[in-house]
Amino acid sequence: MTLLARLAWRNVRRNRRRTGLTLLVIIAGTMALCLSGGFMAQTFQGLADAAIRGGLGHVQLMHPKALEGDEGQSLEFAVPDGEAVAAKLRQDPAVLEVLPRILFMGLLSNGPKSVAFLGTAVDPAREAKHMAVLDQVKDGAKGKGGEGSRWLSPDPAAREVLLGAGLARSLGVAVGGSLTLMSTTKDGALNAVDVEVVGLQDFGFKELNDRFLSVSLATAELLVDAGGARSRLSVVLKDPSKAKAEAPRLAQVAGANVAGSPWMDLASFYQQVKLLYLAIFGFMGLVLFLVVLLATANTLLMSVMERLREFGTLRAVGLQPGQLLALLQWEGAILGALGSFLGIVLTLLLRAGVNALHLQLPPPPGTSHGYELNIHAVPMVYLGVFLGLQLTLQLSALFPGLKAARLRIVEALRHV
Amino acid sequence: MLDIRNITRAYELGGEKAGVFGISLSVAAGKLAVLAGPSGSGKTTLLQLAGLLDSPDEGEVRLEGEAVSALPERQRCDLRLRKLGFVFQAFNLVPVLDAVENVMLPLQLQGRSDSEARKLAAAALDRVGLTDRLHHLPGQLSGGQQQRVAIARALAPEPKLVLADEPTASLDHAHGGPLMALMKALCAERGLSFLVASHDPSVIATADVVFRLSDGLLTGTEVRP
Repeated sequence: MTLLARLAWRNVRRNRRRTGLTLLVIIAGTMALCLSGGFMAQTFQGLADAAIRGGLGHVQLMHPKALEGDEGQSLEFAVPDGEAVAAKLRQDPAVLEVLPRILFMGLLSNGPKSVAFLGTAVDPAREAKHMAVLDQVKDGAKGKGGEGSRWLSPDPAAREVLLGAGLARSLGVAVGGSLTLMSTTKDGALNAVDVEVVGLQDFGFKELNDRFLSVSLATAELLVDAGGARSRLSVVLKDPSKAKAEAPRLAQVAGANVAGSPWMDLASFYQQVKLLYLAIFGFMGLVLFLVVLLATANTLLMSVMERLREFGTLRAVGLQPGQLLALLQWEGAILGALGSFLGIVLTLLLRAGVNALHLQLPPPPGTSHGYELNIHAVPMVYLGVFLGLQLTLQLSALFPGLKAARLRIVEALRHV
Repeated sequence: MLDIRNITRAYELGGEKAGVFGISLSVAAGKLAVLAGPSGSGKTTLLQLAGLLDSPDEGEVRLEGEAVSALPERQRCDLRLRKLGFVFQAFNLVPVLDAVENVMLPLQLQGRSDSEARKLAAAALDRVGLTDRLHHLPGQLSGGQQQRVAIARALAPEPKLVLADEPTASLDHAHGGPLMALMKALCAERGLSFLVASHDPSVIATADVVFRLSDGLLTGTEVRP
């Protein structure tokens, strides 16, 4: 340990009450930033999971025109041989599963009443393994008319439909009821299929619950005569972190007229919430760093004013002005390191305690169900807060340090 | 060793002009010189100028023949560290360092290793009779013991000149006498020079040379055989 570091450590320990108060400010700032960072991480992960397991997968493959524009609900710009492409991609070593989908729209009728819908046709067996559909059905069962809900049968002969909870409510239909799906085929002809309602789904958003329904690919084939074409191929990767890199490669593997996009580029809600949270976190962080800066600068300045004669003595015996500045920087560094370390330790303890309470948070704006508070431990946030506070303490030590370094020795020695 | 040539340093004190005016004096190697005079006569100001703690308005300070008072602060600081030692009236020990660490401080600033600095500091404290107080903090030492630590701190780096401002003012006669005897002995043993500001007659009595100051002016020089 260098002479200055040792001297700084002794000085920090000298006035324990003042050091304690300074540490409290740093600890509070560290905890606020680390806890809010952990909460944000939980939110981001929740939103990412919702987007990926809600149907996007890690990579979406589709016709380039569909990626660009507004043809998402027709087969005009579908992957023509989607099933064959899906089978080919399943052989790729990076791919865990490929989930083909048909997106379609039309009218849903119970006889006297018809309602417009947006439909998704999926492979019931594969979808249930990799997507959150079972959760959606389980939650749907809790809603009005949702009792007895189950997921779609993998039997190709089954003509079944799962309705968004709001869509079922608007038609006054419950599980076990019969409805008619009407849509146009790939060639533009009007077609209809009778289906049985086997369950209600809760997508978490009212707008989706009011419009969305799910059927099997076999039912959709019958309705829209897709002939093997698929609107989307949702790819589940073995390593989700490689989504960005794998998207263009998998599109190339899929063949001509297929474009690929990683899930985050398609999850606009995720991106918007992330930006909003980062802005809030950034602003809060700025305020907290400012509070720590002012509080610690004040403490260090007071400490300098009390030690003027001592500094005069140190300068008299040969301490250079730069070394005096370094001494104050060391004191700031020790306070910052100690405060951040204690703050992180307390954050981890508080996080464990709060998470153990299994607190339920209210539904976020636009969604229909709440979630359990589970603050994440994010090492990068902790490291960032630690380094940020070190920088803050260095800044706060700068002014008192410069003041000490610029002292006239004879004046400092006269100070009582 | 030390030559002060026609030095002037003026400042305002309570609306009146104070300081030192046109003073010249010399202190030879191995001599104990005393700046004598009443309070406000300019003793401390002159000592600070000689110790390169302040800069003169006019005149110059020469150390071992080299003009040093106009050097940049970095070089003056280095000269203080390597050639000068200071003993202050109020001891001015660093309160968070124990006796041996206080004495080690200038040695470490000189770049000596911890072990070497500790060895030299212990020897310096032994020289002033504080072998059994190495690890006492200043607050745990008496005034006399603190002053001896301050002297050890000034002596340990082996300076050429030690500047002492009223070194006996905080001590009773029982401690003041041995302190001056120690200074005299060091002059003889090491060829070390002392410039001491004091109005204590017992200090003045031990001096090889006495410079009498009054109202910032040198009014007399008394050289003892």
